[in-house]
Amino acid sequence: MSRSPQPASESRGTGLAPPPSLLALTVVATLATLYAALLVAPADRIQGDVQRLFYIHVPAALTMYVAYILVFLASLVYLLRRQARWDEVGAAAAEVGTLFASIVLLTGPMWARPIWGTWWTWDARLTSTFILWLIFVAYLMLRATGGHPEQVARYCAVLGIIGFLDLPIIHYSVQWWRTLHPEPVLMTRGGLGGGLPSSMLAVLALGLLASLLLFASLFLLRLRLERVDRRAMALRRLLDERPGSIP
Amino acid sequence: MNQLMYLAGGLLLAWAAVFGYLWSLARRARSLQRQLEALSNQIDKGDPGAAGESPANGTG
Repeated sequence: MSRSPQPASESRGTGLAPPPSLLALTVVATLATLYAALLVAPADRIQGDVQRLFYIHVPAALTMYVAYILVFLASLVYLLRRQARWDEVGAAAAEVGTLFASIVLLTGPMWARPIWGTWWTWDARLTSTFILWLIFVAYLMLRATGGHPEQVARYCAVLGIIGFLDLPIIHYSVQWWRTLHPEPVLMTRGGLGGGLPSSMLAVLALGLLASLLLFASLFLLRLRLERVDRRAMALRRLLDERPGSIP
Repeated sequence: MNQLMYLAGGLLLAWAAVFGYLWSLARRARSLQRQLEALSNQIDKGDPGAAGESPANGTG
């Protein structure tokens, strides 16, 4: 096979497949979380068994924070340096972050219905989280619609930064406004985990570990896909520009 | 609906989201694989038109 024309920047391997050990650890931690959440953690005295959704809902929310902070940092660096790899990081983190945001918005109503008596209420915490989800859905739609790659990357970086500005609003909304959503039990004024008994805190920590491992695995898979896709497009452009090619 | 039904519903939705996303990643990877094979054939044959449909956008 003849050697294909390749730009120097495209000749490196992606080297980003999640290592098998990470995938194995993710599966083990996820199964352990399910077991601990359903069978080990004590049932809440007031809320009963439905409170066990806490071990999925809260880690998903914290992982969403991590993902969107990563989008913010990648967007900022992209705007400063204009290197495509930071745009790739932002794209991958935004997509996986939106998965976790969706999990938060799906599990929340299932927990709220039996406890609050309603699936949804437009209070500050829920509304600001929904707005964040909409911002990043717009971000993903912007990428999907295509256009000049550098222009799309620039617009997405700006949108990623705007989305990040919603994170502190979400976090402090329960303190700034009167909401139905409870105040944080993990990051409290009394210290980290101060609002939880140790038996629940341990399961929550396991859930957070599983959620972060799942994020890392999905993020690396998505980033690899993004890089291979861009490499294929670059190669196609080069082939199309070759003398004698059909436009 | 009792509390266990809501708990099961919440878990089901969360897992459906994760597996749905994994399925979407696998589908995009398969599509990309086909495009790469077409490009490889195009290079082998030296025929610029052999790669088929050009991907308009990214993987998303």
